[in-house]
Parts: sequence; structure tokens; C-alpha cells
Amino acid sequence: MRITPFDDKETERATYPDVRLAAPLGLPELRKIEQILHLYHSKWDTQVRDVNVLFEQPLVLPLREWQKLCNIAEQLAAETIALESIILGERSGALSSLGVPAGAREVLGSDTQSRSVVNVRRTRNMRFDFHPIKSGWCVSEVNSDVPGGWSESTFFPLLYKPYYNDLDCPPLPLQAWGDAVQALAPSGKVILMSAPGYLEDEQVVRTFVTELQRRRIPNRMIKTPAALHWSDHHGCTLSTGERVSVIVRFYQIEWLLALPERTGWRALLQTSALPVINPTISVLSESKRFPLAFYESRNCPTWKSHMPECRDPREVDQADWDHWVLKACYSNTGDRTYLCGSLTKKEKQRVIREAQRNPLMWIAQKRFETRPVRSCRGLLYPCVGVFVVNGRAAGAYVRLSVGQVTDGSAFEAPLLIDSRSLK
Amino acid sequence: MTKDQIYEIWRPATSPWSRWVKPVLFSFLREEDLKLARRSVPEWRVPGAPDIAIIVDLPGADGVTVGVALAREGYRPVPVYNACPFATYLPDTSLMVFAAEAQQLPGPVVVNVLPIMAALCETVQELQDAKLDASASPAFLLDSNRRGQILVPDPGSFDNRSFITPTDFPSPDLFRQHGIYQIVLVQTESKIQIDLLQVLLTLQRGGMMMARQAPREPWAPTPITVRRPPIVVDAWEWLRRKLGFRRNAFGSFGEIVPPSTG
Repeated sequence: MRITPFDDKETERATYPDVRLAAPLGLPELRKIEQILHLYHSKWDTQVRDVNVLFEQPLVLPLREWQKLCNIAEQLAAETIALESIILGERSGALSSLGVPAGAREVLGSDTQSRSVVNVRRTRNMRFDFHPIKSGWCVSEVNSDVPGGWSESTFFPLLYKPYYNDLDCPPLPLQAWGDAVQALAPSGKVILMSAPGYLEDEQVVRTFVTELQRRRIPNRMIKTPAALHWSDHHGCTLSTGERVSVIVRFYQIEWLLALPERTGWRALLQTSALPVINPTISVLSESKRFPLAFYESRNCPTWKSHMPECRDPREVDQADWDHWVLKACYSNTGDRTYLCGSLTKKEKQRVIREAQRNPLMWIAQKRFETRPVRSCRGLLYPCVGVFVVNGRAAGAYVRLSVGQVTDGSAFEAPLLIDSRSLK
Repeated sequence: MTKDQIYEIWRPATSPWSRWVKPVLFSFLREEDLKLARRSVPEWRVPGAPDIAIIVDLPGADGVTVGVALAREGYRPVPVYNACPFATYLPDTSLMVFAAEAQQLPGPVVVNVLPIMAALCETVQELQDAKLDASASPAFLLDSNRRGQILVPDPGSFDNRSFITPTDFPSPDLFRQHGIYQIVLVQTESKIQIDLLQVLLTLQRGGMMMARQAPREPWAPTPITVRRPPIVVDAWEWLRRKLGFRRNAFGSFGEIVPPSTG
């Protein structure tokens, strides 16, 4: 299972990506933007101790660099979808090795779900996290099931753009999402489902609703799969008899699996009768162990050339752990990502022990060196999360860290594009 | 008054302490919430002291009214309420409703923050009238009910219990840069809640002096030394934070308690 497709240190010629930061905004302008984010876009965590994490300098990519990044992201998305189909064909053994939860394995193992694979090709959203390194761009992971950051990557560029006349907004993910749903030409209602009480998910769904309303697409928010009625004759309907044409699942699969069977979650996860945005199959590539699958495949050249080496935790040499990052299989917010070389001896032993005890729940990824950018606050390390909506790159979510790891204390900034060189 | 205006009064550009105002409750204010009557705020004579910062740890709306009483005396109230109300949207509308108004929500709320939201609106005019100086010392406002009264909320209830950490406050260095060397804790209870205790310990380790004062009593803060709790209490608190609180993706608190998987 071990392959070494990527080693930045061995690259002879440096081909650093062209990345820079724009001039900083003044405090009043930044404050105005911050207030809009606080009050109208549920962005509340902008202050951590003495530091405001909303960054005053947008990240700028020349158009050529942005196009290059978009191409890579689109190729990664295509390879991901192709590999998911192959994995699904291999059934339960491959699913187990990815750490997919038992309930999801059962659903994905059914014939119905296999048939639905063709359907989901048109309705996928992913976010690939890129880092500039010596040899170009490196991708650290894909967020493919219920990816977040829609609001930041849509509204940050829009709110900063008026202060930068010579720069352009990249495509906006929310716009691309709306186009994708509209293209499905729904003749019935678009149903958006999020878990009750998870307000942050509901706020994302509200953002989607606003986009649908802007396009005059009928929609309805629901809180449980029990609100959906399934029949061979009428497809999917609501209790009012209204026909459902598209379902947007913004509800983690693990939580759905924990609901009682009578809520009908199984019918939702297995359906091939209508498009589900965030289809069940996305749980495969959401697993941080997904890279182990593409190493075994003869395809996936873009993944192999842009992702640092990954290994099962059992395959890392004991003396070499300081060069590896341990990630939990389904960690959503980076909360269970450990840079082994930066842990205390005791912490490192604990985390490694846990990973080796439950190896299918963890992945080890080789450390890489992100190239920093100069900012008004010193050197910062960028992470550019590029959205791909239905195969096309659509904007990005930018974080700037003071160290190599992108964590909760990273600054957040918009991405703006410098198109001047090509005009 | 609009939501933006209310927020700007509580979080003015001129105050260096505005950055620590938590926006959560303000973002949930609706048009109908902004038309409430003016609340009367009992007087409390407190001498102004530029070298003092105050932390008010009182239940619900009481913290807001004491904060506004302190504003009359020249202190800048800084709301640090970080729990969400239990809110949802009505079907096919953009109308947000709270748990108390909506039958469709599945369970009760562990910490009721709606009275705090009402108090923030009803005292805003009084705060504006105080015409505070940019150099006003801060009075951080906390809800002493934030940790809830129950250890394990029922499945289906909205668990918005919260805790504070040192990152929710300025560092000792920043306090000193503004000439502040003492923290006065205003609370009714004699025992300091464990999360606040850890904040005070951090500030004390950073060289800040500590004192305690009962609310609405004649101003005579008693100097105190905050002591580290026994290791068992520390360990219990660590465990509770890991397992017992539901911090959502926005850094605030509040999520539904899921059904038991057992």
C-alpha cells in the first residue's frame, strides 16, 4: 500500500506558485466588513484573545495562477468521482479499509445505491485544500460531504472588492451552486434538509434558500427525512402531496444513521429516483483514508502528483513520526489533526497509540513545507480551499496561518484575482 | 433603532475593548425585538478608576442591567454572551422564531438567553446616553447561568451551555498597555465558577491583582488571591468541556442533544 509519488524536497527546480497579498485595508473599512459578517452572515468568531482573525489583506493570485489551480482542482474532482465508482464496485472490503461507518457501508452496498452513481455525477460539491510549496501546489485533503465555507468564500470577496478597483472577484461558489441546481430544471420543490438545532448548518441552508428564492425556484426546508414520502408511482413527495425534484442534504450522514429506521433515512440515502446534492457516495472521498485507495489505483495521476505521501498508521517507522501528520478519518474541522513533531513526547505517544489501536480510523500524511507570503503582520502560510461545483472550479476559501498548520487561530481572507497581465 | 445601530452602541469603534464583544445574540435580533420599552436600571454608585477592569458574573439579564449601571459611572460594558438561542425559520418564509414561540421545535432549551437579548435592547438608549469616553475602563458581562443547572440534558433538548476561556478576554499585557492592573469580580455567589477561575488565574499569573465585590452594595472591593483548584476538579472540568459542552462550528455554543446510540 506504500507509494512515494510526492516529495517536495527532491524537486530540483523551485516553481513556487505566484501568490501575494494586496495592500491592507484601513481599520474602519475592516470594521464595517466585520459588522456585516457578524450580524448577517453568522460569522461570529473573528476575535481570538488579542487578535482579530479577519485579515486586512486579501490573497491575490494572477489570473494564470488561478486558472492553473482551477485546472488541478477540476482534475482532482474528476479523478475522485471516477475512483469512488471503482471503490463502490469493489464493495465492502474497500469500504472498510476507508473507515466508512458500518451503516453507510450497508447502504452503499445495496444495488440501488450502485445504480445511483451515474446520477450523482451531475450533483457534486467539493472543496480541495491547496498549499503553495516549492514544486507548485500541494493538496492536503478534499472536503466532499457537506463541505463548509460557502458564506465566507462568497461574501468575503464581495465585501472586500469595492476597496480594490484593480482586482476581480473569483467565481462565487454560491452562484455556481445556484446554477447547478437550476440546471437540474426542477419541476417540483427543492428540499433542503439540515439537522434541527444545528444552527450553523441551518444558516448555510438559509444562504442556499436565499439563492433559490433569488432565482424563483420553489423550495422548502425540512428537519427530518420523515418529512419525505417515497413511492414507486409518485417518486418523492411531501406530506402535502407536493412533488420533490431535488434534495439538498446538509445533514451529516453519521447523524442520519443514528436516527430511528422509521424516519426513512434509508430511502433517502439509497434513492436513485432524484438528484441528491451531497449524495451518499460522497462519504467515500470524505474519509481522510481516501488517498490509500488512489495509490492502489492505476489512475488518479493528479492526486498522486499533488498530494503528500499518505500511509496507514501501522506502516510508519517508529523513529520517523516527527515527519508525519496524523488525521482522524472523519475529522471535520481539523480538530483531530496532529503534527507529530510539534507534540510533547507524552502527547505524541498517546496519539500514535490511539491511531495504531484503531488504524482504520486514522491516516498518516507526510509533512510538507508551505511557502509563506509576506504580510503586514509578518510571514503567513496560505491555505486555499478551492470549491468545485459539478466539475467546475468556483471560488475559494482562504486561511492564513502563522505556522505550518492551518488551525482555528488562522487568519481568514478573501481571494481576489489580478487579471491585468492578460487584459 | 436598527439591529446595526444597537450593535454599534454596544460595540463602538472608539473603544479599544469593543473587539471582545460577542456578536452572537445581536445577530439573532429581529425587527420585533427592537421595539421594546425602555428598561429602568437601578443606580449603583461606583467610583471611576482608570486602572481597574470589572468582570460581572450575574444571572441572565441582571448582568446587563448592572453593566449599564456601571456605564453611568464611566465603565464600558462589554457583553461576552456566547450561547445561541434556540431558533429556527418558519417554512417557506425568512421569519426566524425562537423556541418559546415555535411548537415545531423538539425540546426545551437548557439556558434561556432570550431575557439577555431583551435587556440588551431595552437598555441601549441608556447606554448611548452615558456618552462614554473612549478611554473608559471595561466591564465584561457574563451570564452566571451559562453552564446550566443540569449535568446531562435530555435527548432532543437544545444544549446551549457554554464556558469561557482566557482567549475570550484581553491578555494581561494588553490590560497593562491600557494602564489596567486590577480586576474586580462582581458576583453574588461566594464561589467562583471554574471556567472563570481559570481566566482569573491566567490574568493573575500575568501580574494582575484581583478583588471581589458584591453587586449594588457600597463599593469596597475585597482583595483576593485566586487559587488553583484541586487537580481532581481541574480534571473533571477538562472532561466536562470535552464531553459535556456543544461548541458549534461558529465558535459559539448550542446544539441539539442527539438521541442515545446505546
